[in-house]
Amino acid sequence: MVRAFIQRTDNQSVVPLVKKIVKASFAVVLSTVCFHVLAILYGAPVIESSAETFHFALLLSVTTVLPCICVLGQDSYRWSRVFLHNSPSLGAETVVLFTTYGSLVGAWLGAFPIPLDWDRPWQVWPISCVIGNLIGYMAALAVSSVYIYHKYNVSKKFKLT
Amino acid sequence: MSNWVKSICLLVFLVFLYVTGALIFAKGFLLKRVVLDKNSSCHVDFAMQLDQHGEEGCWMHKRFRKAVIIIIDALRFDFIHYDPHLTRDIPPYRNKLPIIHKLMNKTPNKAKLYRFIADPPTTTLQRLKGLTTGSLPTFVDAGSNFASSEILEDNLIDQLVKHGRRIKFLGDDTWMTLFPERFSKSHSFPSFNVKDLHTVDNGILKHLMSELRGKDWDVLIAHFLGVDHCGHRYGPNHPAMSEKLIQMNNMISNVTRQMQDDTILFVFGDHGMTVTGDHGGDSGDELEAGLFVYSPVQLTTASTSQVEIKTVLQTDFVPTLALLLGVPIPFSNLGHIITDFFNHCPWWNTDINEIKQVYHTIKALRLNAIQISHYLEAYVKLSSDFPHEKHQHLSHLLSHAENTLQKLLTDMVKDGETSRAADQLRTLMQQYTDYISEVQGLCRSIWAKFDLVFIALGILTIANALFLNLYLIMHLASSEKFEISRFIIPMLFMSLYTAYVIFQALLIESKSASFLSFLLGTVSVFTCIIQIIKEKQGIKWISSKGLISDHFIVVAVCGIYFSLYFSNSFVVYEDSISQFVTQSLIWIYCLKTVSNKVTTRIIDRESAFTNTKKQKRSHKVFDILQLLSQPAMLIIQVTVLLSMCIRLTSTSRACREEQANCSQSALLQPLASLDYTSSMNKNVRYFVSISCLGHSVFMLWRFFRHYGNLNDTSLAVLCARYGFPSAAVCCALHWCLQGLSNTVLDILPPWQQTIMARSVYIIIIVSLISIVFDPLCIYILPNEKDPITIPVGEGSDESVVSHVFKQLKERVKRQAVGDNTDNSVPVVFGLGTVMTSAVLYIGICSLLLLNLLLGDGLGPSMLLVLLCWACFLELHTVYVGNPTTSLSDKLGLAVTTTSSLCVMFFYGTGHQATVSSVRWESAFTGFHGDFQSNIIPAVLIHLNTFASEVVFTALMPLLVIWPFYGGILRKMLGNKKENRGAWRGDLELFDDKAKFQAWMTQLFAYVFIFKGIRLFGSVCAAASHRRHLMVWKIFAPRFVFEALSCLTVFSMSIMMFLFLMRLYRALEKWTQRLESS
Repeated sequence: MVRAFIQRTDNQSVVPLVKKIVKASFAVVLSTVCFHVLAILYGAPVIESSAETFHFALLLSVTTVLPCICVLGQDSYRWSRVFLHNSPSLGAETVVLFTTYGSLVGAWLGAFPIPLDWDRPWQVWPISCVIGNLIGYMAALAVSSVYIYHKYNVSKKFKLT
Repeated sequence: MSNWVKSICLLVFLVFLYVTGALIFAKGFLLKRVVLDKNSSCHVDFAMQLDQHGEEGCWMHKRFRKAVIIIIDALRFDFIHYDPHLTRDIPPYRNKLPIIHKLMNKTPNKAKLYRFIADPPTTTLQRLKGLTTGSLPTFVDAGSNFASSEILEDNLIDQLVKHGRRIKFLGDDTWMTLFPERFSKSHSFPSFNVKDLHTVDNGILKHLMSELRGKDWDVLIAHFLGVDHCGHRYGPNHPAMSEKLIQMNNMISNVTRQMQDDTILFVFGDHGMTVTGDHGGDSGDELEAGLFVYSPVQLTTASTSQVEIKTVLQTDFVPTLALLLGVPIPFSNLGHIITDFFNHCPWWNTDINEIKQVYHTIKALRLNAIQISHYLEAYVKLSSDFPHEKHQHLSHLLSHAENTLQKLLTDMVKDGETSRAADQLRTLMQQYTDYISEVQGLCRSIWAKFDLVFIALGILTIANALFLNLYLIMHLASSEKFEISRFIIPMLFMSLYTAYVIFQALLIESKSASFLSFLLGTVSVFTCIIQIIKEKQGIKWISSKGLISDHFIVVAVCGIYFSLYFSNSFVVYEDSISQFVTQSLIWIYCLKTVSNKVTTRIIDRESAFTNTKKQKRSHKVFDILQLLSQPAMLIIQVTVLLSMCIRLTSTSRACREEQANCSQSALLQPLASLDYTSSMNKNVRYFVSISCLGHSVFMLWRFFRHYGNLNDTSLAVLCARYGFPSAAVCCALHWCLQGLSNTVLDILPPWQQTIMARSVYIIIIVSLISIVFDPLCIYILPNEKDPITIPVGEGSDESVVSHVFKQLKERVKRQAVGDNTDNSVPVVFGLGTVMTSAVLYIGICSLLLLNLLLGDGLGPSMLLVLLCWACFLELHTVYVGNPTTSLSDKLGLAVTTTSSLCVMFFYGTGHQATVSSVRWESAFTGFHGDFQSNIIPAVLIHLNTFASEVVFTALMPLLVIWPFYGGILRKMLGNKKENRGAWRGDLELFDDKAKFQAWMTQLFAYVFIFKGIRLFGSVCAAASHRRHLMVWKIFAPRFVFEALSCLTVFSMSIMMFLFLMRLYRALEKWTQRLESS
């Protein structure tokens, strides 16, 4: 992904590249703050364990927003095409769509074991959500690769016939 | 029969099915103990060997002639236990009864202290039953706390009276209803007014000493309520508690000084209290009361060390007192005598002889065991649910003990008192104790035995109702027209089935008839399923845009709420989980709305896309306002606001005892109990609450005024215009009165304390009646031909004058020409919001009433309810888009979200699904205690507990009406093209009569199915976890609360549906009149 990002800017000068990197990191920081607020809105404690919440938000934005920026850039049309119309092009865009949804859903599902009385050390906010997020991300990677392979085969078949 | 009547019939039938199912389930699940009406008699064969010493008694010699029983309600063990090591930071409730410590130190063998463990439920009435009959309570008993009635089971009081003891009673009048006409003399005082800390206690203290000195009694009972009331009012951590306990200390020391040698004194609490001062549940603090026993003569051989404090059960009091006073132990007693009081006998010089001590105890214990075995025999004869082998085992245990005793006695006569005999006697004593505790354990498990047939029938009935409900929803979703003929077959089967089940539940007790009912139930479910399969094609699972469809979300959320009940920790943390789920729903809603909105826009602009792209490139200036007023951003802002409101509800939550590191919200404490030490400032809280109340009423009032609903002069409109603000003022003043300290408040006469709350009640009742009679808040401008319009807000006054002059000139001109055709359209104010205003009217009424009942701490919470509704309705309106075409598809998700909000606000209004968190004090808003009947307090407490259900169901029709009315957000987002023609508001709904009625039916069908699934979940969880450790603590209360909440929602829904029917009729009549005139 990063290579793709760099390749696209290869034949340009360094200044726009730096600009883009600054913008992308700004977006990641902003989305981290958004995720932090969102986590509190969903019921995370406000003051205590705020460092943990922040780390969770950072992880969430690294698994969702960062790949999207790397792949989709600043093009709002591409963003809306991928996320609102759900019609990504076969390739990196599909992977990004899958991993974004996968990590969000994984983090969401990760919240459910917290109240259970199993007395496990990982049943603490936000450990289970972090685990869920990572599992979701990885599962989405796997599913998207299978999906792309499948779709690719189908399209090849159509081309042949 | 119009369609309205058909739908209401169907809805009522659904309610009937749900309620019957819940009741049948409750009949099987919340089992009652069979009450035996046998009494113990004095002359029995098992107590034949006469004691050669002491005074004559019934089963045993009479040890004491007189007894003084002092019950201090809610006297927790740590109130009574003196800890001399405690020197710094003594809480107000510790070490305030030094007399007990003093007596125990001075005369250790005349005074004993025990932990006195109550059986849950820890409500006074249940405890009194346990303390006099010696039997164990069952869950159902808790419900009858308000309707205390005479005890018919054999009990201590009856036995005492039967054997000629005169009983004097002072204090709590619950005793008088439990034991009418048993006491030779009584001074009783009303108990229900928990605000009143002193009337009962001072009344007792006034008479206690003189009565004690009198000769006309054998047993004197005094029941003090001050400590309990102080706990309810202020909690244990309040200076008032220490005052109260010091008063009790003085009383006890006076009583002990007055006592004579033939008297025994019992001082105990009937239950404890939680940290907040409440009781009713089964936490350690509530169960652990204290018992102190004292006599001027030696009570026990003081061999036991003082430091170790024994634990006894409250039922143990019954056999102990009975044998000490020489009366038979009540027939159904299951208590175990407190052995300490039987190892010393003044007539048998037990002090020097250990064998005599133990033997004396065994004699008493044996009587106790035989009494229990008699009870067991009688119970087994009556009820078949005792396992036979268990019963055999128990009788074997007892006969073994009896044989050993006989053998030991003969041995002792032969060999004299050897040292081995003492050990043998001790093991024998253990055998009797084992027998008694085993019977207790068995009885506890038996009385938690469930009637599986009724449990299954209840579940089946609710399943029937659910399937019918589902069918109704699918029918309405697939074919907008409502045909009742399709429902006739399943309804017929179901009514046959329920009729049979009710017949079986009420009349036939035998279980053989149940097969037929199961058959009928399954058949009716299957007819319903067949109908559903026929109707299946109406549901689309994947929406066309590829996002997850509404139906999927609805099913998933219902699934979460259903399965939540099966895990005890999810039930415990349901408050946080419902918040989490609601937040997720809100954000999904937001995402769907944004994607809907933006995709339609993008399709609009697809052609001109490249142009805008270039324009954007050129626009380098970053304009935050422009960004924020983007449609998507507006939607997100509303969602964030809604989301924040939802998060804020967690500030007013109550705590369950199971919730670890949870601290009770200070908002739930009564205002009067806040002082300088607490974290919250009294004034700040009061004024914040008032401003919240003011804002919520003012917001709605402004809405009415803005849309011209306040122009008429009918009673309903007058109530809205003047009544609601004055009701809010009254409510604020009532809160203010509640904030006064108790001593100040008591100076006021009762009518002054209640006048404010009562005036709110009156205003609300009057407005509700008037809105039902005249539900249209509209005003027809008198048909003045050719009105003069005065422009508002255009330039200076002079331009107004010239404008009016121009109009007058034109009028004169026209009159000169003779143009007199009258084609003017009548001007009606408030017609665009005629339905919204009627529903909101009910909403304000319930909001005001609930504000009053919930108390000032929850004023902010009620404002949050309103804000949530406002935000959600705006979001919903944008999401629905054009209501006439897409409303019925999108109603399901909307109802699920609001119902989820409703669940969350149950917790957000300071409640939990436990008995101890019920806010009993709300029964006194506007009443000064001393109710003639139990209906008013029950209704008030019910309304308080299910406040969120009431207000949410009242506002539910807005989900249909608001998209037609429009809302603000859609106006801001809407493109100009859509607004063809004039704004007609929710009058548009009136155009299509069949659709309006179908939508309303659909709305309530969704409301019902959400509640029904939750009820089904709680029922199934309670049934499947009936052997769970926590069943009485978590699952059973959850079922009871869910059933009551369902009942509230169902009845409110039916009432709202009737009201909408009435509104519709009134509108119809009004239009007819308008057309004819």
